[in-house]
Amino acid sequence: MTAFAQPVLVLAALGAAMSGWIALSLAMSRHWQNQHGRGTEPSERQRRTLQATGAAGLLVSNLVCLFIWGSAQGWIAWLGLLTAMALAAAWVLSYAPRTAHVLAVACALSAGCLLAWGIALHAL
Amino acid sequence: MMGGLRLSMAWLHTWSGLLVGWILFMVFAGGTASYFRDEITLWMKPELHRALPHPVTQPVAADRAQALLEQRAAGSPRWFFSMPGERNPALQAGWIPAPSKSAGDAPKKRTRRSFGSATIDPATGVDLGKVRATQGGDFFFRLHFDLHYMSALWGRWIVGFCSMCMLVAILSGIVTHKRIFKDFFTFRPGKGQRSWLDAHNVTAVLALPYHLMITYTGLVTLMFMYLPSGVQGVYQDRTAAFYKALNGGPGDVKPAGVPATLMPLGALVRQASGIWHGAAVGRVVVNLPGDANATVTLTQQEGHGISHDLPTITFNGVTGALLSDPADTSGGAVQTRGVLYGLHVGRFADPLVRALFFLSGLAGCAMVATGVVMWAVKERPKHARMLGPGRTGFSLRLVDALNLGSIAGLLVAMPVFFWANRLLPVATQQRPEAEILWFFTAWGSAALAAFVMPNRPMWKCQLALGGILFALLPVLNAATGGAGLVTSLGQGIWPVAGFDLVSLALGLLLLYAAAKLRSGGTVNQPAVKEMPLAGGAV
Repeated sequence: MTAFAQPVLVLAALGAAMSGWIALSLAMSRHWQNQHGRGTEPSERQRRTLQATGAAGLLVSNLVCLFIWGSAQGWIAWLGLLTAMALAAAWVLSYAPRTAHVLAVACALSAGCLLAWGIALHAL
Repeated sequence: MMGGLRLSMAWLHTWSGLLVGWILFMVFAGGTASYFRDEITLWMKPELHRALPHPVTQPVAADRAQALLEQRAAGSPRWFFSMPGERNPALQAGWIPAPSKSAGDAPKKRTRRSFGSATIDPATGVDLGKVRATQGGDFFFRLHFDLHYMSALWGRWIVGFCSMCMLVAILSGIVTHKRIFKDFFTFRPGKGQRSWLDAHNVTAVLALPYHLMITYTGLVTLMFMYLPSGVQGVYQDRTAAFYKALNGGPGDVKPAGVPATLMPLGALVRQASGIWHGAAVGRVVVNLPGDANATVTLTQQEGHGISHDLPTITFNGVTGALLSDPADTSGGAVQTRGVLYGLHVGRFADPLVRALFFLSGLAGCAMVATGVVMWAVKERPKHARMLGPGRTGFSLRLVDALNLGSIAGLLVAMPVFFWANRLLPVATQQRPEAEILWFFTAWGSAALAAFVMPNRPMWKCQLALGGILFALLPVLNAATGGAGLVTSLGQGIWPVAGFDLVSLALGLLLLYAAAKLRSGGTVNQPAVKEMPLAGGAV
């Protein structure tokens, strides 16, 4: 891997994990209510969508980690990265819950761009 | 039934956590710092910051080391040196001094101090000269399993006992925690006891894979000491033979007594790297240099596999013939231990993965700290009910003092160690011990103050003090001969820049915590007088 592709892909993995965790959290009543107001609940479909999106985000971060670090160290790096991003997500959900939604979308979009860029760098 | 199990597990979790928590905090903090053992050591030798050599190829570095060792350590029975790397730009060489004719052979009684050593610029082969004596990062590394001021054996038994309790606390904590998934991200600040429980849960659950791994593998690193029966059953009292079989390495070679020229080490380094498909060499040991029976053992540099058991190759030092079979692999049990050991020490990790380990370690510190503080927060309303508002009984006062002394006190003592490293005169006798004495003096004083006044102002005071001492370390570094942040960032001296930036961040974090306390009810630290009862009554 080129020296430059690695940091780009690492950022992509971080973004994917962050958006994944926030999507999973928004599928939970407490965090959904912080976002959409007291007494509201996500519909069953919304909940399913959020959970699927969240799982997809974590899966993408996993694949990127395995790609960067290989199948042995990749798992260790992924677990460490999940911990770091989950702590960050918990911080956002406690101190700036209203920004969580926007942040998740921003993270997902930038992760997508970075992933494309990183793959291009790697392939060239 | 489940309620009964949960309750008994809650009891087990509380006591197995609390009673060893004060030592565990130090073990976690020292272990977390040890991820940056090399960087800490480099920071504590400011003489080396600017003398940082230009990187050269490994064979060149090895030849330079050989030239210096042939001059300085002729007749020595053994040389050893570690090759420069990203984390360690200088070449560290050591040797066993040549046996003096009068002393006969008493190599067994040799202490660490009697080794010769030199810090070499690998590009020029010049001895970098007088570098201050310090334990550096090795101090925190040793402290976290050997303790100090007692025999390492006792230290290891104590830390092992605490780790076992930790494992029990983690497993019982998982059973007790009813809402692992429901409260996965939940942290509700400013709600007294609830906030402490949330913080404890979040730091424990989100880093749970790490906590389980580090506690279990920590026990594995010392398993031959804790569970000796298996080895004794096979080897009886010949444990030396066991370790020899485990660690491999060249057997004891008798000197031939015939002088012979040692091969250029650079060529052997190149050959070993070739056999390892380009992986770098980490450590070189030359047995009997200058003798016809000389051997050269090369160990691979860390970072290529998780296992702590690194591949080694042994050559005949005169002919260059390969003496060991590089394809020789160890058995499954040995490999498993190597990987578990390697996971614990994390030396395989690249800088980013190391940073992630460090972060999880900090989460571990926070988990232990919030755990022991929570016990006091929960207990306080009971005492207030029984003894009157603001009154505390002996047990609570004791826990308050131990919490303060072991958490805030350590956070004062750690930066004091670094300050002592820079402020003690370079020529101080027994300098490494003097630095350590400062560490324990600071910690002891903080603990004493905690016992005199185990209350909120004392928390504020010690957290602020630790914060200031940490945050000013970059200034101290620049003022006392180290490469300051401008230099280190400008010239890309990343280990030094990283130390300064992490210290600054930790300092600001502690100052923030101290400031949060000053603002009153938002953070419900244990306090004797001003404890808001509403928060504790949940």
